[in-house]
Amino acid sequence: MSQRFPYNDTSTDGADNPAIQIYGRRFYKDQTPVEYLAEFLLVFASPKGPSPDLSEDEGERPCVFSFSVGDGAAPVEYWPKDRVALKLFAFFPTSKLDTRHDAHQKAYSEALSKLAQAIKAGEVEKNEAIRLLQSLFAGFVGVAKTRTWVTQSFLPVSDALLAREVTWKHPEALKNKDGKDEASWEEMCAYFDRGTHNFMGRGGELLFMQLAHLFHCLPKEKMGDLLPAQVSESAKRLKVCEVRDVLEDSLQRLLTESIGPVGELARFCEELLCDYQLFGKDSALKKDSSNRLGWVPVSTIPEAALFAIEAYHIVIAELSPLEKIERLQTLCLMQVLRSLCFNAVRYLREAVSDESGDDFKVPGTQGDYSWICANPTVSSTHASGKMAQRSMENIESILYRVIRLPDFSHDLQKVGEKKVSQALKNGDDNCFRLFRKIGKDLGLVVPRVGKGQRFVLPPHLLHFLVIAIIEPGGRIPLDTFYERVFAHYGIALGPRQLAAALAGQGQNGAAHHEYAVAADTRWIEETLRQGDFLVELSDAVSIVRNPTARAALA
Amino acid sequence: MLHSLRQYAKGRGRPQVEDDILEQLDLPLNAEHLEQHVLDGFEKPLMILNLSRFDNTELGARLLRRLVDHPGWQGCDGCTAYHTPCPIRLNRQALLDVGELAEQRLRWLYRRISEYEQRLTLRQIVAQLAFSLTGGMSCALAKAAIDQSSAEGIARGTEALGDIVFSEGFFGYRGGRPFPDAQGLRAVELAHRMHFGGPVSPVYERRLLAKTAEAWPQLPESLLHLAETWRKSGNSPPRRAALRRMLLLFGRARPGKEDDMNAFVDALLRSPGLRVLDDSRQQGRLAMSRIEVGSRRNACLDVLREAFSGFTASQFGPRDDDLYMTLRRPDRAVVQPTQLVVGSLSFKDFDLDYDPVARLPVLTYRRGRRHAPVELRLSLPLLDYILRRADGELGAALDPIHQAQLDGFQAKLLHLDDARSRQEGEITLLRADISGSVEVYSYILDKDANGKPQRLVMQR
Repeated sequence: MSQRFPYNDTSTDGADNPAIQIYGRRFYKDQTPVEYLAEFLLVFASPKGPSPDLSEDEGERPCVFSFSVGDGAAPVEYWPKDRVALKLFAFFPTSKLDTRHDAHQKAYSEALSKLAQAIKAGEVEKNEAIRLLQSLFAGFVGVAKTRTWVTQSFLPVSDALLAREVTWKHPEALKNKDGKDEASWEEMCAYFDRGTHNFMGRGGELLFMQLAHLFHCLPKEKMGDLLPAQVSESAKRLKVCEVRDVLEDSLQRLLTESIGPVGELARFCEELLCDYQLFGKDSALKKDSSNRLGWVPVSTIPEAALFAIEAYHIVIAELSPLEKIERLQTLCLMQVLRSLCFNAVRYLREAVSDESGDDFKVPGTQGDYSWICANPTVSSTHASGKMAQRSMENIESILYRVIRLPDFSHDLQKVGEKKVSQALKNGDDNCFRLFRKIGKDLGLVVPRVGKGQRFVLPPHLLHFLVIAIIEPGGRIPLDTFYERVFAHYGIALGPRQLAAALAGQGQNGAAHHEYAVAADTRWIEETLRQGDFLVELSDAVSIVRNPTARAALA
Repeated sequence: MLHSLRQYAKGRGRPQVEDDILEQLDLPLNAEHLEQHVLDGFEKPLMILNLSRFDNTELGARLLRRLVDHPGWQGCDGCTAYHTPCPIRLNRQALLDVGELAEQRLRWLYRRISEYEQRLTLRQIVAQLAFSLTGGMSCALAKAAIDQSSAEGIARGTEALGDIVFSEGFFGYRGGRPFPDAQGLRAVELAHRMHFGGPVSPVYERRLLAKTAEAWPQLPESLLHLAETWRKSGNSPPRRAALRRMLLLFGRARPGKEDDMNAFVDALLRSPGLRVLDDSRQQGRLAMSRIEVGSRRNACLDVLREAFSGFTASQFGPRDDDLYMTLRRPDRAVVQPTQLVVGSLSFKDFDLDYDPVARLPVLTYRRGRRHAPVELRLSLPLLDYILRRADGELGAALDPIHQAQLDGFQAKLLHLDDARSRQEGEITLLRADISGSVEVYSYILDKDANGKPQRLVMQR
């Protein structure tokens, strides 16, 4: 079957989940958009390595802020921080009442008084300062929803706000079968669970592994050999290791220096409240605090290369740090969608023979699939809306078929009939339903409810495409822009791309002569002009440019 | 051209030429520094000028004079209808009477259209002016209209004039009602789309319906009767709109009433910054008194502060003249009543200037000679937004294009050393309290001998 990276990863977790077998471990349906980026940056910033013996000394932490995972043979572990103390301070006052335990309440009051001692000001000003800090941290909440305070997560703007997922087992704590002292924070810590992956569902880990695999395998290659021909000249000349170095450096600076004061304040609070860390003082349990990274199929080099070059363009642009974080978040989500499609087509192409007539080739794309996007303002009954709808159906059918290939389902026969259907449903949830969910979160698929789901390209996604695909300060003609977008993502915008996309849909889509290929690109040009990305030279020729300057690399 | 140059350069081993050409094409035209437009690297130096960067609104406005003074009009001298109230003659006479005023108003209109909508080519401008002169009416039709009229004297041509008067044809209207045939001309369609002629304010509306002879602006004589007719049918909104458009193009302020006229034009064109921009371009420098420059600069910075931090100018104290740049979430998904300040600059270090190359006002930060000046070009829509916001008008929204320009300006300012020069460990927070007023809190994070953060000390 598929080769894995790390190479000797033989874990059988997820052997009954065809989605994991195809895409790697794993993309999970309940992971929110913010958490993809948060998990990705968490793995990037945490110490990691294949060795289970972690040196206690802070100075020797291996592979912090880096993409290197050792020799790539042994399974990799990483040691993320819990940040429970910070979450207690920031999120406890506004969290839901149902899952607050008395021990937490007591700990919270003690924490406040400890903080008050460390603030040098009058009594009234002390309280004011505490409220200010809480308000500041609460402003950086990433996902709150209806979660317990400890499961809420921060926006990943600083490395001091990156934290792993911790769940509070409230029913067990209430029952207290082990008879722990209900008033003591340390004892009740036993009911915190660090091993769940309900929200940080390993999606970010998988994105990290894609890049780590690329940088590990092919450091000396030129990007031009791995990327499609349409990519920019400057990108073609870069070596993979140069891209890696710039990415590591820029991401590290983004997380540590750009938003320095927030990190300092967070560390200050954590230091003061170190008594309320999870198993903070108990070094024996520290060894259990690692997470094992999943695995990724080795065939994911093409999409990893595209991911790397787009991330490169975003981090070297002169944008404000928070805007960079937002663009990186969009990039992570688009990469998830892209990986789903790339891998599915890969397996289907191997498995399906010529007799069905599909050869899964769409010339001009890297991934041999296409997304035909319509103008967001036209209805689904318009011709272009219908084409976009067909395209969406085509992609969903590809994702549906791939997990039912005999390669993956014959493993399931061993576990029994009922379990097969259960496993397939599980796989569906994490394949095409995941695609739909992320597409709707991004705004790529409308409407959110109701029939007529189709691909659209809203303005913010078009702006993201310009920033990610064109290097800062670069200019390309509009036709080249359409070609590049088609090559990177399979998004068909111009007339030639539309024709290629319709031809490539083959049996799954309608025969391409059913719709006259009326490619009206005026809405794209209008949106680009609104964002100051388009310069019109004449009626026929326009230039797309990336107006952000290149940030001076220190 | 791009294609040929690309092929040419490939043979000479210079594949980058396309980037360089596109960069050249993006430069504004600079007559004094023509060497900027030269492309080297070939046997002969190439000069590339992008004519679409040339500002043709002034030329277009001046063309009206040429059209109106053209010797071809002498063909009308022999016409019997001409000395009676021929509507075409009345139209032309009105333009001759107002002279330079029409040119100025046209320049403002074209500036408004090209800055907000699209740039018009000279051909489109000429087509629009030519159409507006005659309104599509031929001599035969004019004669027929005069013959059919039952009025006397000059009034016989009034009804026909109402159809073809310059101020209506220009915007694609006919006697107050939209004229779809005219909108085949691109320039007319753009002018129509902007819906000029709406009500201005109750004060001006009352004056509109006052007797024309005593009305505040003076109209040329050939249009007086038409204006009177429209005024009498004052309950018809299209007629009132037509009257406002006529005042826009032909109304000359009576002595002492220039401010009224200016306010009227500003409101009708919905652009408070247009006249300032136009005067500055004519004079080649910022057309404002020193005090005005200072107060406009403060207004710009107040609006920038609001765009960066989300707090309006009234929430800050009166002595607070710092431009705060805060860590504000771009998705605005969560309200941030407390924001961390990552950089601050004083209002006094900014200047409002005029850039002769781009021909726009610019807001510059120029303190110290260590770095290149950081500029924000105030194009007309951005200038209008700032002036409206400074007046306190809510509901003015910023286009994504300008939001992106402001974000870029903020990013450049943050890179300046002056913005971040503060004590080690200093933390500044902005918070809007319950009454809405913004307080600045300043703390120092003290570290112990090992470098570990130890305590938070309040500053002021």
